[in-house]
Amino acid sequence: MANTQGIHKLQQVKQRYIFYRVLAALLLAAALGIAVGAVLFIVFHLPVYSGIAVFVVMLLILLAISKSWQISDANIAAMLNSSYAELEESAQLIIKPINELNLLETLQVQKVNEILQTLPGTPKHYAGYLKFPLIALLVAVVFGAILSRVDLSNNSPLSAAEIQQKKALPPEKVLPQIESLSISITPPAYTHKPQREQDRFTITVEDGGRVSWNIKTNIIIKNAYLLLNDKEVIPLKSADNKGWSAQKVFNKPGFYQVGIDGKLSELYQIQLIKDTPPLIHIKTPKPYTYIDAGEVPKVTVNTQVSDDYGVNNAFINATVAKGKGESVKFKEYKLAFPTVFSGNTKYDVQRVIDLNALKMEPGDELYFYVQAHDTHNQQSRTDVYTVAIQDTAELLSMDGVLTGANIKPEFFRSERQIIIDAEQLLKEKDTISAQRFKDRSNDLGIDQKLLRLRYGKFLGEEAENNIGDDRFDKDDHDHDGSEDNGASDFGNAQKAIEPYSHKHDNAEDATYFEPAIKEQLKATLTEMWKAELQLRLFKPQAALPFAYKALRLLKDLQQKSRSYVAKASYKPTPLKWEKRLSGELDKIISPTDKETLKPAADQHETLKKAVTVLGKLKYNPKINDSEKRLLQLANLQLSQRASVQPAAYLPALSAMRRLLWAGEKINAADIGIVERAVQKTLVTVKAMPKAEAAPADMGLSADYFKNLNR
Amino acid sequence: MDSKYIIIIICILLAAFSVWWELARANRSRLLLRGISVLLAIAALACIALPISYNGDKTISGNDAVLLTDGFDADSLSRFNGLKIYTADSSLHKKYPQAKLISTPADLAGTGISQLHITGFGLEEDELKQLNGVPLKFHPQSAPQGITTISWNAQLHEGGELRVQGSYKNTSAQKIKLVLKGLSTGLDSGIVQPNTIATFDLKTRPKHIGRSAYTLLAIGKDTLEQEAIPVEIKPVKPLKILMLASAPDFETRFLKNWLTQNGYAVACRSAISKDKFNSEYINIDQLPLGSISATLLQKFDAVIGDQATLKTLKPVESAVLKQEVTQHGLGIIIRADSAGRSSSWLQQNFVVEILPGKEIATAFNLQGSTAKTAKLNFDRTVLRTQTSTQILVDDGQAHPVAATAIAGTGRLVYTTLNNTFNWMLAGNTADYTAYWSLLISNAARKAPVAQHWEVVSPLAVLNKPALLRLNGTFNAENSISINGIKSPPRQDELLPFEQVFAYYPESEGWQPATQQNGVTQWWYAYKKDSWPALHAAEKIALTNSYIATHNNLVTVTKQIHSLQQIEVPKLYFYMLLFAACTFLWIEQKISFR
Repeated sequence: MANTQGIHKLQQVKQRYIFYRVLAALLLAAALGIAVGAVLFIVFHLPVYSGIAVFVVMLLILLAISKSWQISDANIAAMLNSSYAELEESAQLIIKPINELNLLETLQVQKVNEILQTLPGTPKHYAGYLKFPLIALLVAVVFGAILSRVDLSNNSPLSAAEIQQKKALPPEKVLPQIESLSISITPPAYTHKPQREQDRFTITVEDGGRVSWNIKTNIIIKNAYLLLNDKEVIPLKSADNKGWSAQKVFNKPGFYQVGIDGKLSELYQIQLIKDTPPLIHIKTPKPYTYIDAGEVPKVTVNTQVSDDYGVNNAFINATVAKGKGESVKFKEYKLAFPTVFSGNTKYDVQRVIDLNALKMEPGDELYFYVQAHDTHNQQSRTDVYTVAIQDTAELLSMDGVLTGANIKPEFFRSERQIIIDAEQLLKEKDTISAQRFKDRSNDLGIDQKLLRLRYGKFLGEEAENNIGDDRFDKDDHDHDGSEDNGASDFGNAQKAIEPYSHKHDNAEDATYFEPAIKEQLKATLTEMWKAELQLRLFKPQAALPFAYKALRLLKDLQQKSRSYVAKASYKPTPLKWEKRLSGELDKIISPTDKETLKPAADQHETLKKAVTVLGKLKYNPKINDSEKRLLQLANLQLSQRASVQPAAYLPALSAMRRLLWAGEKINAADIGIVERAVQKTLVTVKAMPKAEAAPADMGLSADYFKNLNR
Repeated sequence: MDSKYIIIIICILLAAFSVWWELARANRSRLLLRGISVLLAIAALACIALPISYNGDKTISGNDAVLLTDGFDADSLSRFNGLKIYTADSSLHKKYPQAKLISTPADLAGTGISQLHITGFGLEEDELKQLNGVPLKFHPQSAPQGITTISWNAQLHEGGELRVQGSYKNTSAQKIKLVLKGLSTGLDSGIVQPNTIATFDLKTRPKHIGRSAYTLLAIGKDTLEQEAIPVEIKPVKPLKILMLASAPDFETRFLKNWLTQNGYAVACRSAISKDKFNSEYINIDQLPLGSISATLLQKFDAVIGDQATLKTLKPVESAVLKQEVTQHGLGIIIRADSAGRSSSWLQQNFVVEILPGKEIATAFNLQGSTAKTAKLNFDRTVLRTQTSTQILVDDGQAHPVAATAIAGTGRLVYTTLNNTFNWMLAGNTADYTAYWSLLISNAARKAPVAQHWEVVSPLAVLNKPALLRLNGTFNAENSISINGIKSPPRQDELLPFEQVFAYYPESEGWQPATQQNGVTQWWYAYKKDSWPALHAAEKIALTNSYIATHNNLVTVTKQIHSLQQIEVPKLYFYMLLFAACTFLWIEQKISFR
């Protein structure tokens, strides 16, 4: 009874709560929708629906989070309790079934029921739910408005670009008889481009493209044609004398005019887009690659091939040169890339050239270049790259050592011996035990070390442990046994002191070699170090390149130390001066030669002279016939240039024609355009010798000079 | 009178009250300074209210007059209070209607004016002459912003360089860009810094021939000045060259080819044996070249020969050559082939030396060119620098390689370079052309002309007299017609060959002046308001120099000194009041802290 009234009130409060909550979610979703939608629409140029979609999605999310309609009556009662003190924390009693109430509660329910009737249906704080969403909505609207303003300035460069584009396409003057125009341009097959239509006379067409004109006239006309480059006439054909058409394939740039019933339009430009040959960029190897002995005889050719329309094919053209001197032989190979070329614009291709597969041996050289074809069947090729394999036979030969000034052969033999031993070891690797292989490799490493220390002495280096260490010396002697002077040095105090004295930069050492030689010796030692390291690591294969390098450097050193012997001088027989120039000359004639050379005709002469007329036009539009003739000749020259470079010269040609036909209504801007084109065309003339003018003084200065000399 | 006393009484009362107030002030620091400040402030107030004047000397007398000329400053006229103001320019009269308009400055002569003060940019020379007898004093305005001096070579030959030089006075606070434009194309430019007077030097090589008016633009925020630079470019007339060689060599051959391909006439004689010569005639009639005679030499503008040939000429031939050079202006280019000094007249001025060091690739400096040439192997044979020679080419370290000296009416050019053909072999025609053009142009015999033409007033302005001068044989009948109007010649009193024509141009642009023999010469007439700063500067200088030379003696004696009351400007008192009040205000701020 009274209880139902209370419950009714409670339900009212609950419904209002749900309503406010949903409204708040709606507003918040709208705010987010506006803000995000504005960003998407203005910045990312997405359609307006995106904003609505955001709104719907946000609304669903917010409702799903809050689930305000699921609020229980108990929660509402609790809320009422906390909001209204007069309920005395008893609002929940209303929803309790009556039969469960005790006496005190029944009394209290009655009291609460009465109080509930006096309470407003919408508690005051409900408005607070809307506070934040409203603020958010306001902020979103302001944000959107600002963004749309900012957008204008943001967009202005874009629109400026559009304006520029429009500027680049100035309005064309069209003959009044023409009602509509449709030009279809069919690009050639190699471009893979579709046919396109345009309604402007100015044409930009790919090389070899077909242009077909379809002109509709608003009246019936007798004939129409296109005048190409002032020379060639392309007749326009028509069935009904109203729709006219023609077509032509273009391989050259130029300009044309439309002629209708004998009246010519202004000049329209035909620009040609040339196909560029394919571009090849070899990333690896370097133009000159040297494969040292011991290195893997393989070269990776890593190439990028690109073209403006498409690459059809690319391959490596390799030539192997074998032999030396006159017995050199060449063999050509065509190596394909392991890529299928299907006409894309860019390819990154790679191919490993195995020099062994090409049957190359030490001393041989490989020359190769990459060639590519594009879809237009234009080809381009790179420079020739060279790969050479080191000729070990020459390096290991004793030729130079035996014949030249043999200064220190024992050092060289040692390095060579190490190489030979290492190679032998590698050959025997499969037949000997692993331990034995390691031992021998280590022994070679020790040999390499001793050799390095020996060379180090030349540079004044000190071995790390040779002071006072007899074993070191002994070891050295054992190695090649060439320095055997222990007996002769017996009792030599100096010799005894030497190992203990710490001598730096011995005078002899310092002057022994030139700095360049010292430098090379140092490089040799470095290579020896590296070879030793590899040998000690039981990797004779890896040590070989370094050992070979060291040997090559040593060999160079040896060549440098050869002495030069000058040729013996030649003594001619002395001249008899009295006989000189005393021969009979009467049979000798004096040759004469006469010719007339005309200087080459100056191809710019008319343009040079036209400048004066152009200058005159600026302040006096009246020109006489000879001046007009000069301008016409200049017009002819400009027309020739315009047919080759329409983009550069067509405006000037049009301006020149306007000047020629304008009569006295001359536009100063046209003169400027023509003048600029003339200045661009003319070449700077070199100053030729010239004579100054003598003063025209009735001989006064000559008289003065004469009297001065008297 | 009354107000004066009232002001004084009020001020004294104010002063007494203020001083008492200061003494009664609790804070007694800086009392003295405050007291003085207060008194000064009150005194300054009184002085502002009262007219304060003193007796002084003034050199302006009642009978003086002022003549306004173009560019006068109306604000500065206050110092001529009470004087009569005249002007002869109707446009100035409109600007300053208080001035009395006179038809010419001559109207002021003989009117008893004790001194005429000229303000503005001054007068033209003929106007100054009209003021004969009137003592003048010039109060010049400084010339306005713009081009104040200008010079350029208005007539040049094809391939020559156009150089526009001058100075620009920039009174503004922004940079001015000067641009030389030809054929509507910017060719060279320079910048003038703010508030400076800067010189400029703009260069270009015109590519065309004939007449063209280039433009000189002064551009600040927008175009401030635009002036025409009229230029006439004439084609080069080929010369006739005689080449003598002791043996056929590359240098001679390349030089001959280069000259003849450009249409020059060359006769070349190279010895192939004793008294046997190979003769070549290109673009010239066949002449006997076996012996050098006066008639042969008269047909040529220059002789190019190696030292060996010129040394071994027969005595008669040598004498003829000398005669032709010293008396008739022939030029010789001598290619040195040995070092040392020689007593020969050809080598008097040129001493060849060999510098120590190896042959080295050297870039050379050519006279009149800023860029160096391409490198050429140089055997370090140089000329000794001498006062009688002019250096044409040096090796970049001030060692002359080619030089020229005067020999009578002719010229000798001496060069130690014998391998310039290497430039040609390397395809470098530019340096080869520049080098040989320089040498041959210096040596070439001066072309005789019957008449020489020039414009005396180079910046001729519309409706003002333009003077044209023609040098040549005078003939009283010899009038010229300019735009169809005949102008009679006026012969110079001292130089009989100089004759001057006067003409008042009516339209701007190129003006044709046709002589009686049918030859037409062209000159340029400017708009009235062209070159404003230049004309102003010119007038100022002219007026100053005219007064300095003609008018200085009369002014001092006739000047009347008078004792006058001169009012002290109120500005000083305002400044004093302001300073005193500022001190008091600051003092109060400090003492409160």
